[in-house]
This record gives sequence, structure tokens and C-alpha cells, in this order.
Amino acid sequence: MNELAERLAGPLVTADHSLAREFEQRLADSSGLALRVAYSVLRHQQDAEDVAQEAFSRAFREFHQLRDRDRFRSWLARMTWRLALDHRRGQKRRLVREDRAAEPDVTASHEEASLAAERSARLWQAIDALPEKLRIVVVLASIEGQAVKDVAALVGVPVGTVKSRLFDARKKLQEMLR
Amino acid sequence: MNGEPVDNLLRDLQDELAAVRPSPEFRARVLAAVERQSRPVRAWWQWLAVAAVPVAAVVIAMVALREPPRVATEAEAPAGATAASNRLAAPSTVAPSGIATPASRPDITVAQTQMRPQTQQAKGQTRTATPARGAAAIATATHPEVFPAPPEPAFEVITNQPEVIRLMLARFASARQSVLVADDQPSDAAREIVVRPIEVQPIYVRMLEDPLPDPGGVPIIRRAADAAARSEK
Repeated sequence: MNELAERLAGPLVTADHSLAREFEQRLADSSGLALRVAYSVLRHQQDAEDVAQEAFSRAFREFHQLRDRDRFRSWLARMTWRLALDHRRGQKRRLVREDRAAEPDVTASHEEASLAAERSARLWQAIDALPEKLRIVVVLASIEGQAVKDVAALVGVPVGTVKSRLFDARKKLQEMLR
Repeated sequence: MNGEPVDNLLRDLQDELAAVRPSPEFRARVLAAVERQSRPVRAWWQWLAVAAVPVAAVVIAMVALREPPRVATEAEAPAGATAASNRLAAPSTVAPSGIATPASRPDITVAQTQMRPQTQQAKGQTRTATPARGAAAIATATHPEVFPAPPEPAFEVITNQPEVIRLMLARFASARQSVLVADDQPSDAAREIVVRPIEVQPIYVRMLEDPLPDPGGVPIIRRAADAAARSEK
């Protein structure tokens, strides 16, 4: 009886196996991207990993429906972004606590470290204040120096749109950080 | 900080994000989560195949338990047994929950069979139990835990030796059974059908003569030629 079940499920298992192998390859290529996208929203390593894991799980569930596999990275980046935003909304209280903990320690002995932490906190504060369309472009452009073309592919908009959004984002950041 | 160009800040952001790397367990965690997702799809097929065996066994057991126990049928009875049953002179009625053993006489007539409502169409038919069929009936009747005894007698045995039946049933004291001896009067089913012969008067064929003799109640058959001549006249 088990042999029959294995024979019936054989093609499915084989298809699953090849799909799983391809997915493992995609996981190796895109895990850094998903994690950084999640981190740019959550600013917490463990939360970012949880969200990235959830994004990969969803991606695997719907992987067979993805016709254009070359768009996997952009698909995954957008999914991770949305999941991270949802996660942040659900974890507001904890994030407030984390933000307070991340505030620069004025009593720190190392002045440079204190200045760097303060600068980082202000930068993230400014980025968070950006509209979502501009924010994701800035974040994706900052992840390992993504080129404008790559960012356009990830966001799914033309290159010219990415350029104009980057310009607007810089302008707003400059105003906020002045 | 106010005078810092945005490019420098974005470079800091770039450095910070580049420092974020997945932990060594991240890949294993994702693969484990993916494996958990894909496992139920294959397990469904396996469980379906594995579950078919006990389900089939249960269905077969239910069908077997619902099937009524078989008693001797008319078609299975030997031809001589029915004739032998006609020899019963003054049959007594014994109504036990069990029936004859192989040691009993083969000329025991089962006049009435009342097993269960769905088998009552056989009621009233005269049937004969052979020793082998009787043993089969005992096998079912002496196991009340498997086949609970119906509220009414399983069937009725008409025999001219009720003591033999009574002694035979006494062997199976563990089984729940009751022996009821009917009155001396045989039941309707057991009463013999007497077919009286029809008397036919002898026929005599004679030639027509004049004067016709008085037939005296004996029918006269005329020859065909004489009948035609009479009709011409």
C-alpha cells in the first residue's frame, strides 16, 4: 500500500524536489536582500529574521505560481516590505521600547560612538518620516549600493521614476536633517 | 550634522545595512519552515492509502455482522427429506432458540422460520433441516454474544420425538434457549393435507342398436358415421 502511495505521489514528489532545489538556490541568493529590507523597517535583527523567514515561507507556497522566476527578488522584496510594515504595526509597543533603548547614551564614555549612534538614529527617524514610495527607493538604493536599474526592477517601476523619487527623497532628507 | 551632505548620511545607511547579515541558523530555519509546509501534501497521499486498509476492514466487518445467520433453506434440503417429513404421524411442536445436532434424526421438519424481520418472507414455508444445516444453525444460535437472540423463537421444529430434541438442547445449557412443547394438537402448518381421490365413472363404448337399451346412467358415445346419417335425415 505504501508502494502504491509512493508511486502515485512519485511525480508530485519529483516535481516538489526540483522546485525545492530551485527554491533553495533562490534562498541563498536573496536571503540578504530580504533580511535587509526587513531590517530597514524594523531595525531589529531577530525581528527582521522572523519576517524574512515568513516571507520565504509565503514565497515557497506561491513559488510554483510565479511564471517569471527572474522577478523573484522583486517579488520577495515587496512581500518582505509589506510583512515588515505589518509586523511593525503589530509590535508598536515593543518597538517604542526598542527605540528608547536605541537612543544615544549621553553618558557613554566614547564620544565618537555616541555621535555615530545619534547620527544613525536621526537618519532612521528622517527615513521613517519619508512617504512610503520614497522610503523604499532610498532603502533599496542603500542596500549594497543597488543601482538605479536594479532598484527599478525591484520596485517594478521605470528607471526614470526611481531617479525622480530618489531626488525627492534626498531633498526631503536634506530639509529634515538641516 | 546640519552641514553634512545627504550623500554621507546615505553612505552611513548603506554601511549599516551592509552589516546586517543573516545568522548562521537563518537558512536552516527557513528550510525547516518550508519542509513543514511541504510535508502535509505528501502525507495526505500516504495517509489516504494507509487509512484505506482499516476502513475496508471495518466496512467488511460491519457487513458480515449485519448479515443474518443462515438456516436450512428449501432448495438446499434433500429431496427425500421432504418425503420423510410426510410420514410424521402426530407431530409435536418444539420451539427452541437452538436446533438439532448432527446426532439428531434427519427427518426433522422446520415448519416455520422466523429469523429477523427482513427474512420473514420465508415464514410459513415448510423446510427441512439436515444434520449439517442443523449444526450450522447451532453454531449461530449458541453464541448469543455475537448473534443476540431475537425476542421470538428462532424457528419452530415439528417432530414426533420431542424428548430427543429436548435432550439434545440440554447439552447446550450455556446458550440462552427455551423449549416450548405445544399441545397435542398439531399446528396449522404441521397439519397434513389430505387429498382425496376423485372418483371417475367407467366409460363404456357400444354400437348403437334399435331399440336403444336403457343406458342406466352410463354415457353413450355414438359412432361418427351414424351421427352423420342422423343429421341428414
